[in-house]
Amino acid sequence: MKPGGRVAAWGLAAFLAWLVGYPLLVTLAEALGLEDGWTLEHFAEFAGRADEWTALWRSLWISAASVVLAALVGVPLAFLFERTEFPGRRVLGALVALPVALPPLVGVIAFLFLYGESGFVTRSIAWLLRLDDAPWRLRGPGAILLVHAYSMYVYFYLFSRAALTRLDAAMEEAAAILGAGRLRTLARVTLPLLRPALAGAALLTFMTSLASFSAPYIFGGSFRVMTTQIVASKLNAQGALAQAEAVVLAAVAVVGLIVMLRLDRGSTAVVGGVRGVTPVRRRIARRWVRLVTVVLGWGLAGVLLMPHATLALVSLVPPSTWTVELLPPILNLDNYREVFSRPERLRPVLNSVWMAAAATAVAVGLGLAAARLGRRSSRGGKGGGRKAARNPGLGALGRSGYGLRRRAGHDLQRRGASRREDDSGRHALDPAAGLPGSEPAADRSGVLCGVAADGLIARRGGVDSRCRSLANFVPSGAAHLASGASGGRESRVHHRAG
Amino acid sequence: MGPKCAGEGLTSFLSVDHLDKSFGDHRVLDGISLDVEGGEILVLLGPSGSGKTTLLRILAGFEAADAGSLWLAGSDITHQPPVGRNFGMVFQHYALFPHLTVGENVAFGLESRRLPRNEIERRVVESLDLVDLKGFERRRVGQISGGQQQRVALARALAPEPQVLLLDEPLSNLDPGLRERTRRELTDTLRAVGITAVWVTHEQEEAFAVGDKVAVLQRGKLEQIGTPEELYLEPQTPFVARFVGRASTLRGVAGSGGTIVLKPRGDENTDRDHQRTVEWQVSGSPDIESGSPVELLIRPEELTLVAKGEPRSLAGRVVETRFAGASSFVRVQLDTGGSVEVAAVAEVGRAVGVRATSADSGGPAGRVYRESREGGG
Repeated sequence: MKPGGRVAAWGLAAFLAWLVGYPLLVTLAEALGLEDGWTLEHFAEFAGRADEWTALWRSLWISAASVVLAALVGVPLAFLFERTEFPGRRVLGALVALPVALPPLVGVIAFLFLYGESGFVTRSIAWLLRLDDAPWRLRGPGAILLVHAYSMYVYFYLFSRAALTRLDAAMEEAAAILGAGRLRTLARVTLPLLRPALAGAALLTFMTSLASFSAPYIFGGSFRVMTTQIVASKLNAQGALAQAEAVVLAAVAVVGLIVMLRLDRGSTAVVGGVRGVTPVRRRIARRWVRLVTVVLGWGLAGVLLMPHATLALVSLVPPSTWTVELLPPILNLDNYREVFSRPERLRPVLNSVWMAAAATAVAVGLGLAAARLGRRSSRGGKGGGRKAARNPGLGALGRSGYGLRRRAGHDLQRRGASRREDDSGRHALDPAAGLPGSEPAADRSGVLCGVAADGLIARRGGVDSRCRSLANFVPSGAAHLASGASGGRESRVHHRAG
Repeated sequence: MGPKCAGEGLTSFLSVDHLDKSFGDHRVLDGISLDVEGGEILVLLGPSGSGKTTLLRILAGFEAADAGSLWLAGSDITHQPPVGRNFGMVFQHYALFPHLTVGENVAFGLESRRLPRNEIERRVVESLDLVDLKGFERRRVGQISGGQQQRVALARALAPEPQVLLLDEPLSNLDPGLRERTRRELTDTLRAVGITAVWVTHEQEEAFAVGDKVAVLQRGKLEQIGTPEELYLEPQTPFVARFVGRASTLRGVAGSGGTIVLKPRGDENTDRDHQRTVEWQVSGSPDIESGSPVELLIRPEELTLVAKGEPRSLAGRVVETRFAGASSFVRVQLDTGGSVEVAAVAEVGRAVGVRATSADSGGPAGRVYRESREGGG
């Protein structure tokens, strides 16, 4: 690498380390009593309080249960949309990915309007069944899990779909001609081959649930998880304790990450890199089955889009015009007029937009730079370029780890020696790699470029492709996260090799 | 309904009867009928797009035919799913399960048949032994070479003792240097087991080396089925003549009594170049009436070089030489247009005459066909 490139790599690595490391360090320092002398008393206090342990335990089991529920919804949906052909499949397949486009807090509010005590659905059902009271209460762990499952099954859905498109049809055909029925093929061949994608989705769901705040905050009540516990401590003016809690949560997340990666180690990438044809979609032949599928499919899409529709509807209700009616009696654009005519109301909207734009710009810039440097460095290794080209998920963070590794005094040959293991790790956490449209560009400069390609595709196509590009965007970002994780792993593996 | 009924007039082990298959508007298979005897290796040979792979996939049960039927040992298996067919298959890219060990891959088909554990273990060892991979049970599929993977694929397919083995271009994924040896080992194994096999390839040499019978397919039609010798010596269609072995095409007009008159192009109406017109004795369809345009397909070894101007020879000039070990070939640009390949040695640029080798004895040269619209040579 040229000296200029090396400087750039170092600079970038330092910047990324600051970006990730600095907040963690500050949190840790404050938990250790930065302000009034070093001490472990806040951790001792944490360890001594039963409610802290309860919150930690709840965070863990809520996250684990979210993973299970999200998988139970997302994986079957992926099979339905990837393996069968029925009218409306393409549009529905795109719509089904939409829950992920709902910001957490907004989603929770929509759920309140829908399924809360006086929500549309709750009251409709009470009315239908002639009940005096709401048939359920939207609170506690059940409500949290409902929201989590709703917003996070999309990870499983998208990752599994991507993996299913990549799956070589010959695998399942081989199983069939060797006498394995559908269930045995699914259990012994298809699902094990999907394992890397499922592991990626599980990791993301677990981490997102662990960090989830809106749902536990609004529905949790006395049911506290770590995130709400941290806020409660902060509100009680126990800042240092809150920091200690944050450190514990971060530690749990890291442990979770390591466990997931270990579990995933056994999975293998497809041998030889040869790829056959994608399994064909089976046309649902029987008419009534097709009809039922279509009805259920559109029904499902309706349910999934209800939060979005609710928000749109509620945004049209002028203040204090809606009291006991099931549906709001007056709908107009007053609220929008208010937002756009009063600068102090518009400010938050503009803030959100420009911050999102700035964050995207910085992320894309960083990602491209890191990917460029990573590519240049991976060319040096024997056969590295080709291998890297086959792993589009080789994301920005994972690549920029190069500079750090150089510092550790490892040369390219050694790097090559540990490559095999590295690659399987990246494969494992590389769910975006198979997504349509993202691949060719991603070959070159990492995931973020893939995102850019998706954007181009969106501009070229109509509504459907725009939905698709949204669908592509999300796991691309996910792979970005994941490759950050695998980057961490890479250097770990490497240390052992060296 | 096909002309054959169960158990009646059906002597072959595996029969394909009037099979049709289309993908959309595209006819992939068009009225294919062929028979395979028990223990025989049938090779499906054809260029890409000829339908050979589709035919194999219909045999496996992965695709359903639009019309026609399949018969195995007298029973109709047309609508039987692959799971119940008891066929084995070696896939082009082997399709080994990457998450299982070599032993688990081989055991997969045995477990599907719910055999007892010790029986499975015994047969896994036996099958791996058969393909010379003793002791590989615990290896991961990714840890072995391409040639070894191919043998694991064979062991996995053979372990459940299938009635028919299907092979989809089994050598195409190997290095050229490894291909011939693997081909020999593979055919030796198939013969040792005595299994009925259908082997798909686009390489004529491979087809001739392994096939008891070879079926040549083109554009979904069966051009000819026969032993390699039959295909080479008596090709029924110009396509077979060209596809199997090397052959040059000469255009002319059918003469009387099994002759062909080869004339310069565009000279059909004049006698000006009478001396350049050559009449050869040929074999081929006797029902071609005299005077109709025909093409003569003739192999390099059926032609010899003579001095320019010799009787019954076509004048030309050597434009290319090709040394191929035991034999050498030259390409001769004919004065009458077109070129032919001749098994001979000569330097480029020499003016020569080309004569059918058999012409000296008055025997027939090459095979004559009605001129086909697609032409070429």
